[in-house]
Amino acid sequence: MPSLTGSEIRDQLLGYLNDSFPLFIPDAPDDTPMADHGIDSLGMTNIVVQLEQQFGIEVEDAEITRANLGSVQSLVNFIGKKLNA
Amino acid sequence: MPESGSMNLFDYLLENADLQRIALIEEGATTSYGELLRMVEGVEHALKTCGTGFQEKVGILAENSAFWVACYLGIIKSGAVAAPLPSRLTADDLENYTKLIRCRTLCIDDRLVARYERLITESGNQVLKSAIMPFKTRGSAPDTESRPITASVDSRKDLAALMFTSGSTGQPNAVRVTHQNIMANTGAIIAYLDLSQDDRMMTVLPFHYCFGTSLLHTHLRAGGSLVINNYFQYVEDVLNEMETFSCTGLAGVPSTFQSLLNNKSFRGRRFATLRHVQQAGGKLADRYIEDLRSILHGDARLFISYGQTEATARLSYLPPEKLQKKTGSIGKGIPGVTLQVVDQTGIPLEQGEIGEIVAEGDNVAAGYLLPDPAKNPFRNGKLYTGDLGYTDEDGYIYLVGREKDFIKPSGYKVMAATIEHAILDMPEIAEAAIIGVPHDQLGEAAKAFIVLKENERITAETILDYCGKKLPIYAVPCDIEFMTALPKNSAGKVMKNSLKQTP
Repeated sequence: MPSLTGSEIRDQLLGYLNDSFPLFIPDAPDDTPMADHGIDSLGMTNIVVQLEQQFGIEVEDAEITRANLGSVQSLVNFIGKKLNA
Repeated sequence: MPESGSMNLFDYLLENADLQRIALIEEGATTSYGELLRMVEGVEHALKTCGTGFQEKVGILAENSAFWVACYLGIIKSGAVAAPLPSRLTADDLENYTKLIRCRTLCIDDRLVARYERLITESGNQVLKSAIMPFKTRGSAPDTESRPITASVDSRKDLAALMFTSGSTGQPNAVRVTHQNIMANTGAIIAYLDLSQDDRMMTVLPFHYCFGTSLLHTHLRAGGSLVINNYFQYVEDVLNEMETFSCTGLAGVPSTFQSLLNNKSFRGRRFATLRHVQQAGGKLADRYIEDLRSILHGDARLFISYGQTEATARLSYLPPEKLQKKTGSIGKGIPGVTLQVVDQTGIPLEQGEIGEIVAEGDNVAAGYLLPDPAKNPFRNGKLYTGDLGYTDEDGYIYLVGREKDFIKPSGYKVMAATIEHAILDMPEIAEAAIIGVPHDQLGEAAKAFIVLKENERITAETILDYCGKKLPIYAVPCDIEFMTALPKNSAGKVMKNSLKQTP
């Protein structure tokens, strides 16, 4: 996958979250916890699958932490790091 | 100490508390028993200010937290009835729940207030927020002289809590749980787990669910502690906290352990301080039980157990030393509980014969908030569980399924669990759920929802071929739908009603 800027990653991610989760609040600050967007464990499983497909990255079990996947901001940072690894 | 007949559950739960010791750990922050008691006092004062009456219902709406625990204990101590609400309700659902329990006062965590703002404004409910708690004063215990007096109760008659059933097969109802119910169940669980003040539970189950509440009750009564983690979706964080805080216990429902056993990080860790693992809340497939047993170190004992909200929480457990020989069994009644398998007229059945499991003991709750005479499981001082099972030659009980969770292809009654367990024998499959769907030839047929293990790829045809070898032809699913995960409620139970609404 060609390298993406943080802003491009964020746009793609928000597009997916907005389309897939009815309770997602697009205007909320990027550090809002995913649980506040109504995203539970099933939602998180779907997000991991989507990240792997959409961004072509592999998410290890040990990477499934709040620090990596806990908010839009942390997701953008995590995807960016994986793409540039 | 008052006689047990007039003992308030609060006094029982905190009887062994050392005020200096840690009661709760949440996001790395500790709350000692002394601090918890100060918070409880804050709740009591707030309830008094609201004019809360004896046995009045007070709702609790919060994620697991020190706030939740203090509200629960404060309500019970004051003689009111705690009504823990599921914490992830929509505003409309919350309105229905509060109408059902007819409460005029709600304790709501500040973090949830915004979500329910409209309801709070319009309902006229009195809302107690986190500000009712005093600031923490580390190490300082409440002054015994000024502490509000614990309300005296008739522990066999007066309610401590209204616990909502998890509603895996229908609409939720609330179970009326007395002070004595909880004391009896708590004492029995502590006895067979041999809990002490050195025990520390990793708590990922919500406290509004009776299994989660039982973890709270038992560890408070033992003078132990609980690590609260409300983010099981981030499994790695949970595993890290288990090691960081030297947890001695872990408890979960089947989906908890299915997730863990499919997680490489879990399998790679030793958890040196882990002493006991509790599984309840539904049948964990035998191969998962064997897998879990094989990877736990020798000092970590696995307790398979069975219970219902209608029985406060726990009804039976399988002693760990019997696990290998009796894999698949839910064991026998816990201390003080008698379990029987009976026919439709209530007559006990012989070994091997399938019938309804009936329980008797001090933990059998007082009844439903909304009793339905047509389907009342509380009869003659016994609880008719609605679960079907049989006993083996040694008296160990095996569950067959929920009485209501079956399909009728061609008029044959087939328990959904029978098909689910057959499918779960396939090593590629992580989760399976069966529902009945209309079918032109059979009238009703099984539809399977399947979650594959990571990196596994098998086709629906392979699964159907396997079912054809394991099941009667009419029980083989007519349709298979693959999912990334099954929909579950906040207690981790599969929501079959959601699957039935899947187009």
